[in-house]
Amino acid sequence: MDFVSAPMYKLVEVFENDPNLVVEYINKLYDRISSIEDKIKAYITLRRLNDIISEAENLLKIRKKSCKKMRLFGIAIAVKDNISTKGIRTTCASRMLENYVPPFDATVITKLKDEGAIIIGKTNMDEFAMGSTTETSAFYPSRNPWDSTRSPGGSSGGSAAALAAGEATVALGSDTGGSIRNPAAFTATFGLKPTYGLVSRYGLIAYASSLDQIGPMARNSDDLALLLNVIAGYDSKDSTSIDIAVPDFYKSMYDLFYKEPRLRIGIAKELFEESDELVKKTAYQAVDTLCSYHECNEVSIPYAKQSVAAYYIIAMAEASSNLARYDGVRYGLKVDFENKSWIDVYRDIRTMGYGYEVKKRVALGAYVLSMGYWDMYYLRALKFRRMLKEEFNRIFHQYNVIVSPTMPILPPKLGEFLEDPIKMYYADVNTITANLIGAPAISAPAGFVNGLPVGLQIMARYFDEITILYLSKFIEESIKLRDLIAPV
Amino acid sequence: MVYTSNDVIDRIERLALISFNDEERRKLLKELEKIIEMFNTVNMVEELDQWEPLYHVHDISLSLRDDNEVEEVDDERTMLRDNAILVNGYVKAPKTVT
Repeated sequence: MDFVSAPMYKLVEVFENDPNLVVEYINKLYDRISSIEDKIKAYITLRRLNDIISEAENLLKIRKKSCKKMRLFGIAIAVKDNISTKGIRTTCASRMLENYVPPFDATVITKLKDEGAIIIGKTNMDEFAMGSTTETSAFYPSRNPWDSTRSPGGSSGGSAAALAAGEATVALGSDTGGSIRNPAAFTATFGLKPTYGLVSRYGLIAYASSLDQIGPMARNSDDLALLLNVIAGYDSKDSTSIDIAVPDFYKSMYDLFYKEPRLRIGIAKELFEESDELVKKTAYQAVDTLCSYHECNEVSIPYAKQSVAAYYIIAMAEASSNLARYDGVRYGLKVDFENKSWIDVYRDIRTMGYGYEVKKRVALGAYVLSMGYWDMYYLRALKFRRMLKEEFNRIFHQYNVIVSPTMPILPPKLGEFLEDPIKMYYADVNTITANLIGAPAISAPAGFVNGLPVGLQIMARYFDEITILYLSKFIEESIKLRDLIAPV
Repeated sequence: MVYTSNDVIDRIERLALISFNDEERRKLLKELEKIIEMFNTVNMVEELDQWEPLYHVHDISLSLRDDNEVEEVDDERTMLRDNAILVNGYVKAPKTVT
C-alpha cells in the first residue's frame, strides 16, 4: 500500500486490521516530507519524528488496553498554525507569536486526539489569516505543488499544499472569507467551511469572530465527511457554537449518494460571468456533470461587489478588536519597557510584531469603528449583512444549493497579489458570501487548465453540510479527480 | 476641511497605536484611496436603512455556561508563567505614570 497517497478512510480500515502498520505509515510520510518540504514550505513547525513515533506507540498501548475503537487511529493530520495545540508552538505565522506555546488544546484538537489522530505539524498561513496566498506569513510563502512559481492560495495555504504534496493525509484549516476553499481550489484538494456554529472555535486564534470557522481539508469527499464527524458539535466553551444534534455526515452522505435525490441547483450567473475565461470553461464542465442529472437554473447573485466591501469592513473592525490582546505584557512580542510609557510600549510592540497587511487591517478596522465612521461604514455593513442574508434565504427557498467557481482566477504567481492587494481582496468575491451569511460551502476539484487546478464551490442552506458533501461526492465520482498528489 | 490620505494615515496611526515606516506609508498611500472607494460601495446600496444590523448570523443571543466550578489546569496562570514577566506572582507592566 502506498501510505503517502492513501485516503484516510482506507488507512482507518488497514490500521483496524493491523494497528502496528501505523509506525511504518508515519515513517513513510516523514520520508516524503523530508524529501520535498524544502521546495513546498507547507509547515511552520514540524514535530520531531521520534516524538511522533513515541506517540504512535503509546496509542497502540492504549488501544490494546482499553479496546476502545478510535475513529482516526494513527492518522497523521496537519493543523493550521492558528489552532492552539498544547505544547506545540502556535505562531499564527506572526513575529508577534513566534515563541508562543499554548498551555491548552483547542476543542477540535482535543477531539482529534481522543479519536487517535496524530498531529504532525503546524502549517503555514497568511499572518493571522489575513491574506489569500500565504505570502503575508512572517516566515516564508508556501509554494503550490502543481507549479512552484505560484501560490497555493490562502490563508490555509500550508494545509492545502501539504495535502497536494503528500505531506499529510488530512488537514485542518480555518475559513473567514474563503481561507479553506480558496487553497483547496488552487491545489486540487477538497475543503469544507461548515455552517457558523457547527464547529467549536475554542482555541482558534481569532481574526474576525463573527466570520471564522474551523473546517476539514482532504483529498476526497469521504475523508472530509469523516473528519467533520469528529470535529463538529456543540461546545460550552464557545458561546457561538450551536447546540443542535449533529448527524453522521459520512453515513448521511452515502445515504444520499445511493438514493440519488434530484436537487434544484442555482448556477450563480454573475460569479461565472466575472471569472477568467479558462476558469469559467473548466468550472462549467463540472457543472455540466451536475446538470446532466439535477435540475439547474441560472440565478442572479445580488450585490457581489458590495459584499466584498461589507466583508472587509466587518473583518477589519473585528480584527482591530481581536488583535488588541497582543500587548506584550501578558503575551505577544517582548520589548524592553523600562523607562517607557504604557502607550509607547504598546505602539512599539504592535509596530514591530505585525507585518504590513496586519497593521493595515488593524488600523483600518480602528478607522471604521471610530467616531463619525462607525455609522457610515461599520453599521451599514452590518445592515447590508442582514439584507444579504434575507436575499439568500429567498434564493435558498427555490434552490437546494448555489454553485460557482470557487475562485474567479487561476492560482496567482508568487508576488502578483502583493503588488496589488485590492485585486487580492476582490478575488474573494465568490467565497465571502458564505461567511457573511454563515452558510456552509465546499470546494471540490473541477478540472485543470494548463496543469493548474480549478475548483467548484457549492453553497447550501444552514446546517445542510450533508447536501454539499453528497454533491461533492457526485462530482468526484463523475470526473474522478480525487486523491491527487502533485508530481513535485 | 478636506482630509488628504496622509491625514487619514496620521489619524489611524493614532487610533490604532501602530506606526507605519516610510516604505509602508508609501504603499498605504497608494492603496488607501482604492480601499476607501471599495468601502464606499456599501453606501451605494439603496434603502439599506430599513434593515436592522446583523450581529450574529443565527440571530441568537450568546448563551452563558452554567456557573460550575471545574477541575482544570489554570490556563491563564500557566500562560502568564510562560509568557509574562512575573515579580512575586504579579505581572510586571510598563509604567502608567512617567
